[in-house]
Amino acid sequence: MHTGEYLEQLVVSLRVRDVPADRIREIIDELEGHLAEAGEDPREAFGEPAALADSYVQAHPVPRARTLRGTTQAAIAAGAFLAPVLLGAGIDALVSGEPVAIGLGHVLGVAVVLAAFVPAFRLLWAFLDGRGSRWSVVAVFVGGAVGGLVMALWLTGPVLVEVPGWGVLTAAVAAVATVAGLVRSDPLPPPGASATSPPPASG
Amino acid sequence: MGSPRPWVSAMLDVLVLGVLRSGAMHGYAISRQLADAGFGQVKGGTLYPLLARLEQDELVTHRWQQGDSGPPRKSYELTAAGRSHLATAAAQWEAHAPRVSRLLEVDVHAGMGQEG
Repeated sequence: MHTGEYLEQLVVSLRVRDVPADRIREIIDELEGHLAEAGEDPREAFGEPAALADSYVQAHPVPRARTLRGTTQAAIAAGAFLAPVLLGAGIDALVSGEPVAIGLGHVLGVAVVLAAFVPAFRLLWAFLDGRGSRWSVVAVFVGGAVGGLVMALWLTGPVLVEVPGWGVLTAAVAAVATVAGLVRSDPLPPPGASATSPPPASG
Repeated sequence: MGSPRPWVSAMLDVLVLGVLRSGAMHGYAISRQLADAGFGQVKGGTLYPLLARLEQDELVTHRWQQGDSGPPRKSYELTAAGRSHLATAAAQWEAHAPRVSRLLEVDVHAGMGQEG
């Protein structure tokens, strides 16, 4: 494995473990310096990227407040999935002048999507970490989404509530706001940025 | 004869602090010093997370040094707490090592006596 490829995988493995971006940059800059001087094969020197990321997290634990729990990940995905559906239904209701009838099938469909997205995210994280198969990720995501949609569209059941178009549009905006609020932007600083950051307080 | 690997692993944090007693140095230089001192090749996958832990425990601190060529290097040095930790470890070792030596010597002779 080339140095660049190895370090890219290490970045992903550290990301998956919610290590802050400035800390990741520091780790990558340091290991790059080591490899430049030692001329070693990165896998030979540091072992598997996932195992190295585990060692770093063990040595320097990530604050619990930073870690994205499975439910948060599922909420992000569910919000991203529901927003366009709600937007379409809301616009359709406003144009036709008819309220959106929410039935048992819709509720069960959303439940199926949420239930599928929690394990799907676990599989996705494991895949990004260099473990597992991409097809299992695709299968659970697509299976959950399609299963939920089919259930919502085809399962007949009693109408539970009728919501006016503006109400559905408000829910769509709330879903977008939820996703925007939960997704954290933490871009990786450019290479060498660690050298220009202020030194830590000395003990 | 180099030191047995399990013994090096068990004492690696103190050995790294001991290497840093001579001054600030980066990770690769620390691993070379350890190898030169007979402790074998300490892999980067072991050394760098250990340095991160020592830093987390405030026993070492770091500064970045921009070289003439190549990427900047992260250089570690002992903190006051690190020096104090090292002094305690040195005193403990001084008391511990003779006890081990005595015990091993007795065992070795006892074993030889039984065989003979």
